[in-house]
Amino acid sequence: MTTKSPQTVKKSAGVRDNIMKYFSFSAIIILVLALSITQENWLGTTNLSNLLRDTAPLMIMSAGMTMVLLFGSIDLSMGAVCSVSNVTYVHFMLAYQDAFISPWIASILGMLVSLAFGLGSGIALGLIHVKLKVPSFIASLGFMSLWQSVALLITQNPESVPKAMWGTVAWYKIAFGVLGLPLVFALLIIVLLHCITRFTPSGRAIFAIGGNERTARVAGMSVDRTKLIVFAVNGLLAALAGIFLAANLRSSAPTIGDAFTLKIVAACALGGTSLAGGKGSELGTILGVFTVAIIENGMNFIGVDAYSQNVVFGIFVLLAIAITVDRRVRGQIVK
Amino acid sequence: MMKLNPAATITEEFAERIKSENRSAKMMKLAPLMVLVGMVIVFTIICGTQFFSGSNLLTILNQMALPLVVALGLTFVIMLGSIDLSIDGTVGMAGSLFACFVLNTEFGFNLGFLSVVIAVGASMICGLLIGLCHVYLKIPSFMASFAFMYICKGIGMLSYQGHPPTITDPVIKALPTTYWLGVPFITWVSLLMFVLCLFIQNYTAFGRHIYAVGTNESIPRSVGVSVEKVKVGVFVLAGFLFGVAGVIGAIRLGQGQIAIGSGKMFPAQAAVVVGGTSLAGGKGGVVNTIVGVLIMTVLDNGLLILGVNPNIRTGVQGVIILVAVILTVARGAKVISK
Repeated sequence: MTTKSPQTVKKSAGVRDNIMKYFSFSAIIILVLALSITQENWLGTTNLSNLLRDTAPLMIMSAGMTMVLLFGSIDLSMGAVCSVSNVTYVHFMLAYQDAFISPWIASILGMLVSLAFGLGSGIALGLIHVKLKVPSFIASLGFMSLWQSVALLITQNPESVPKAMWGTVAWYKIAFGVLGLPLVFALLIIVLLHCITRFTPSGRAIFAIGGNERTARVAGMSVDRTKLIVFAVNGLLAALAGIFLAANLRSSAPTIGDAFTLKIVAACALGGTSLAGGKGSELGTILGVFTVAIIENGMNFIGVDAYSQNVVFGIFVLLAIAITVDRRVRGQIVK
Repeated sequence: MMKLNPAATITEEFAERIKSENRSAKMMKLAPLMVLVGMVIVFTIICGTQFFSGSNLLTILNQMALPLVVALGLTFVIMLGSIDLSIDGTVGMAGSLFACFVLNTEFGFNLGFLSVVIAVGASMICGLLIGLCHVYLKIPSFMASFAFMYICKGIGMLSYQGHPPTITDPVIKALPTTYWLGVPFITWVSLLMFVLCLFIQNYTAFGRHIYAVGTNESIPRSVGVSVEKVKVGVFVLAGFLFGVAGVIGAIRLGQGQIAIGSGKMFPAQAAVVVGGTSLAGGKGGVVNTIVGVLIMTVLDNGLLILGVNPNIRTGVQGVIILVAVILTVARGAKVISK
């Protein structure tokens, strides 16, 4: 009879914990190889720079969602917050395009209003979740419904950024080769969040809460404050993604964020962040985001319609979560 | 906390506490009904005969049919302490499939009643898959069903390839305007579903097991109830009811579209929670739900008569869900909410 030495146990646990990262990494390589061989122009500069540019909003939102998932909660309202910020920004620019001497003032004020909305929404959600003890998924579901309706109240139809303001959103198209400025921003944000969650005490607290909230509380961590701050940052990031989308398309749409919710969860799950909390990392999320983006871009390139894409993403989410779920605890109650 | 007589013995103290708990439980039970009555009175005062009339009552009965069936399915899931977010997808998919298989403008099938079986069966299979993913893969139910919302939306859209089929079957086309004893046929179907659910809830072992599993999973497990089977069964039952709701939606619209399902989840969620079924599970039931559905329908109808922008209505539903959950959720230093 052989017994497992502690070292092998540790090693196999390491493989288990990182399985999604390996999976995503190999999926990216296989997909890139397969697509560049079968599709003639897939690896062309145009498609590659489009792919990298369009990834930015998803990456920003996934960066926020990863932190929320790390302490075991979820925020389903991100897509709707993104929609509201998107329409608010463009609506503000339309309304005040002639009110200031420079178009930049109106644009930056619009951005600030949108970001303030995102921050406010995040804080409100955090307060309801933390202080009133409403489960985060149902609280964020209520907010999702609320913000979807607010977005439609601001504008029913897509609005365009006025031509005089085009200069103020041109930054989105700046690129260094194929690497666009928006993606650089997004990567900076996600790396910054990675450093915060990995190397600062308040960031480590997020992992501790996700691992075992009661222990974290007993150990003297300010659980409520940490959660509140993460939800606030999360709202801010969702609003920022809405501004990015407006700058990319030079127009707004009240339902633009709806499709993002599932993709965000897919990206986080494919990056190895567990829904139960305590496990995962922002760097893993980068892999997950690129996996989702390449799958989406590849399907668009081949000509798969948006609805079959939904089926594919739904199945991916289920698979990724099924793999990352920790089933080692016996008698665990999942609701 | 109530004030206790210091001289009371522990027994008296305990009895007193039980009594006060019972009193507040009774209040909570009556609260939804009082809200409903209050709303009817308020809308009658503001809108007069436009609201309180025979024809508007018929409209309300017509409007409540679909939400009632959806909310009934959701009730059982919430009674388990789980949740089903797949409604928008499953209802839309069932409606689309139903319209594809009856006599219609796009496809050559004419299966009659069999198409109902196909549509409801498909959504039952989705319910089964959600249940299996939730129970055996240990994926939280909200996540499993959330993914299935997208999957079902995709399948529904693919079933008619972008050309929504219009139903041309004369019998089915006549159904929305068919009345029986002055009540629309569709409402009768939903009431039949209600009676069925009431029977399952109160007079079958399965129904009692749902309460037991929702209250504390480990107790029914220790007395030998297969908790897994109960849970999967509930998701299949929910799938069945969502399928019926989809068919009702397609009959009312006269067309099969994935849009039949869109915006059905929030009213159902709100109706169940407002009716007094607790999200923690084990409390409430289908009787609470029918009151909740009436509240939501009357509110919707009243706001419509008042000329409120329809986009506000989804927002109102979100706020109602939030408020109802905030009022009923368990709090305390030891409660951990995730």
